[in-house]
Amino acid sequence: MGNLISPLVGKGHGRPLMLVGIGIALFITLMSIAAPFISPHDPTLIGFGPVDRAPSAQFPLGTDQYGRDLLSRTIWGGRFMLLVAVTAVLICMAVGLPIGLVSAYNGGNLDRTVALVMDSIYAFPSLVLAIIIISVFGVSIINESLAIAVVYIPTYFRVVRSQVLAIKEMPYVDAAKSVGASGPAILLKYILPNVISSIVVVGTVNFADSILTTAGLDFIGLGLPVTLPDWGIDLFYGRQLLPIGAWWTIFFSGLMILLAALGFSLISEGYAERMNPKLR
Amino acid sequence: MDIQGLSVEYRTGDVTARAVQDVSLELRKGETLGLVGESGSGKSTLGLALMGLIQPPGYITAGEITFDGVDLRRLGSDDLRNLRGTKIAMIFQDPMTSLNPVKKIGDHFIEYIQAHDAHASKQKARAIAETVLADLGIPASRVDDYPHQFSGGMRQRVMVGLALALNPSLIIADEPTTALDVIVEAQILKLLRDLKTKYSLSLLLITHNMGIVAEMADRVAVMYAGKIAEVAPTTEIFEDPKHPYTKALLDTIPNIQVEDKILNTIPGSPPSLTDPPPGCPFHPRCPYAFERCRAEVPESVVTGTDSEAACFLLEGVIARHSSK
Amino acid sequence: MFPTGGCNRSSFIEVKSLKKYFPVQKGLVAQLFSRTSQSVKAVDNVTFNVEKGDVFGLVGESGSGKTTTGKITAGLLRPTSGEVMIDGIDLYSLERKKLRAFRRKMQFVFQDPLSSLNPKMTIGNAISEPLRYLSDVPASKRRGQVLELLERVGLSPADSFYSRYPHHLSGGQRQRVVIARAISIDPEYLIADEPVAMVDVSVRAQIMELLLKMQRELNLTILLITHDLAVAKYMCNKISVMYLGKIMEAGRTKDIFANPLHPYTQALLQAVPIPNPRQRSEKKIPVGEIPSALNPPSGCVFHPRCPLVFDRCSVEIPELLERDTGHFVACHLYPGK
Repeated sequence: MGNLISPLVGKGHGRPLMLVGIGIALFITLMSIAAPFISPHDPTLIGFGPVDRAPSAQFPLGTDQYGRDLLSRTIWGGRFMLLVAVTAVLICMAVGLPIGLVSAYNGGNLDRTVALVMDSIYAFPSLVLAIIIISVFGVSIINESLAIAVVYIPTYFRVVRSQVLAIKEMPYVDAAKSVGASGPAILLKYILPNVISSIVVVGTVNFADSILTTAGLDFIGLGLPVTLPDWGIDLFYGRQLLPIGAWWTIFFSGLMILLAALGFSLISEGYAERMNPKLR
Repeated sequence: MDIQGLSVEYRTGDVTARAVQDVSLELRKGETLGLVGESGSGKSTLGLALMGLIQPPGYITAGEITFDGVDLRRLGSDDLRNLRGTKIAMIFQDPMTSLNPVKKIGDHFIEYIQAHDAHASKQKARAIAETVLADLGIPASRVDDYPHQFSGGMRQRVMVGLALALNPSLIIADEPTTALDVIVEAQILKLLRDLKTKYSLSLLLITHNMGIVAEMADRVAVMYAGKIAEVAPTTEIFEDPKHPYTKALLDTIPNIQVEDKILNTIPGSPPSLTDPPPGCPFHPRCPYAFERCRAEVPESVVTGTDSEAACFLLEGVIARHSSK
Repeated sequence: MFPTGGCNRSSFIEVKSLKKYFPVQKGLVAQLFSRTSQSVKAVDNVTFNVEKGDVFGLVGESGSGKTTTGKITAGLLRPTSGEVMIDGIDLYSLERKKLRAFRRKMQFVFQDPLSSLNPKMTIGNAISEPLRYLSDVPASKRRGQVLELLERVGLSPADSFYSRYPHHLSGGQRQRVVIARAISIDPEYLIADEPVAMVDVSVRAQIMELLLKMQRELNLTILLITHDLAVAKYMCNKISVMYLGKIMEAGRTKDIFANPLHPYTQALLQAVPIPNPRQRSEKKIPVGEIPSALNPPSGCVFHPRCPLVFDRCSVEIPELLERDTGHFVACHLYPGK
């Protein structure tokens, strides 16, 4: 595990990038977790404040067309997305990683078949598939996570598979066989540890992508029930307000989505860049 | 070529590796100089520095490289590029990765020639390519083949050919035969010898193989941990080595023509280039080390008409020479 | 002692008519329309015996089939045909479980010490692996044994090496670790594939000495695979010279170096650069390079490059015959006695 952390320390390329990413991600995560404690008002309370009020001292981020305080909504708005993202990433790892490991290690026709299946799923546009799944199965955290996960699993599979294919030809795997290690032991001790750092990179990209997909779904109304606070929903509301010049609703929610996606992407970029020189 | 006080460093993150430290060396016209050392000795870095191929995180931090009267360190990158190929050319170790797999062999030559002489027509470049290939023993018909259609030995021949295409006067060969089998190695070495005579070249042969050096070199320079340990004519290096490292190295090398040669070993391992020991870099492994070796870095002293070595033990030699 | 010459006592390792052909993967169209299937004849009818305690060298250039042969005798690669008998037991007739148990007897030292160690595993753990899977040493005792092994291969202080990772060590040190791992379960047979090729020149002698020392102490039988004739001469008491999957010449090391019979062996010996500047001579170097094993030459595989070739060579494959006692050669210049 120490090797996963090592790219975090020490000088070199990518570190500033990664640290900025971690900073943003931490900020958003902490804010979302602490929302019940730091949010000044109830974000769902309709008519709490005057309608369509621009940012002011009383309502620093303004109010929406239902009189809800935007600051509170913004603080609360990330929770759903983060939850979906975490669930999606966990599902992906739980499914993609083992399938990739076992399929690639065993090789042969089974592997080729699985790869073919995965490639077909990979070709599907994620948003479309998500829309289909949500429309059929309804909206819930699990459904949204599943929709996103399904599309992303092939990526994990591919990354894991290509690494495993390379690693299984390495002499140390041959050496493991010659000292009597069995298949599962080889996978767990020799192959998995050498594959895991690339999973982190995919995981963070996945996370960022899922935030954007969730936002997209919410924006078209296929996300959460519209009463709950969520940045994506606020994009939806905010759009309605643009003609009258009320820019704040769409602006702040859009900004937060951007930041969230950016934060995790930066972590991924920075981590990937740091890993490569270390491998030399 | 005259190298004076050359130093090259590699800076990565918070550590600095001093790959070449204060190296002074002379390459004479028409000779083959063997540059010998193990991994970490700095020999490859030195070769790259002479070609002006040191890129960040590598930096030349000191010294002069004078070639044919020109100080190479003062040249701009355009002038350096012109120099490469036309005056100095390099042959690298691995022919597999040095050639572009999607370019025909002939096109390699054409691109190379045209890069240095924009006026050269394709036909003219192709003609040069065919002449060169003939020198290499490769039939002209193969000029339209791709690298993967050539065997390892033939690819290395092509590399030699490319190096010669623009008539340089100095060739730097960095481990040219290490990746090749013994018989192909013999072929390539013979090729180098023949071409050197035919075109009156000077050759800097960088290798860890003392056998190759014995066969090919007129003079030998031995490097250790970034510094020159000893320089002498080949026969002298083998029959009367002065530096303890050279002596120890020769003792570790098996010779198939010598019956029951006892191989000695040099205890320990080469020093870290990022955190070298003080004084002489070889002292931790030297059987003759004494107090001064641990404190001071030895300068090169003259040990014969055409030889020098950097070791405190040899100071007595000068006294003996000068008293004659 | 060698090939066919009927011996009464069976040798420790007997390799009989070993063949390993690797089928070439072809595209779908080619597979449908071509009638012949092509294969790379990596090992083509190789027979030799190794006695207990021998340091037997398989010498050859790349493409000679020596590494493939070595892997097959180590139980790591199933042959296309032929037998490998170790201590009287046909290695590949064993079922998987028994084969794994048999692994106790033989260990492999790979060429590149860096890639033969799991970069994510500490040295100590790497060396304990064979103990874990192939021995009855309880977990509590393993660390102690590993520390002893580290000392034995000259990695001192053992404690500090135990918890380090491969990338912290030098090439020579890594190779010592690989050797420690290989001898940890007290094998009878060690296959060493180019054990010093990727190690610094000044350290090679150390590793070679270490292997020989282990051989003496454990009465090991070693199969040494190398392209370096000097290494073969230093370490082996018997060698087989291979070319394109076949044995060209075999016998005691002294005999072969003193009196090389096969033109290929002669060419190899001549080609080796000698570290003695007074020994520069015009060499007779064969032209061309080793051909592809996909399409080996007819008759004697060396005939296209042989300076002494004559008619029979391109037609008939020469048999490996005993020329002098214990000295075998496969060449039409030496028809059988």
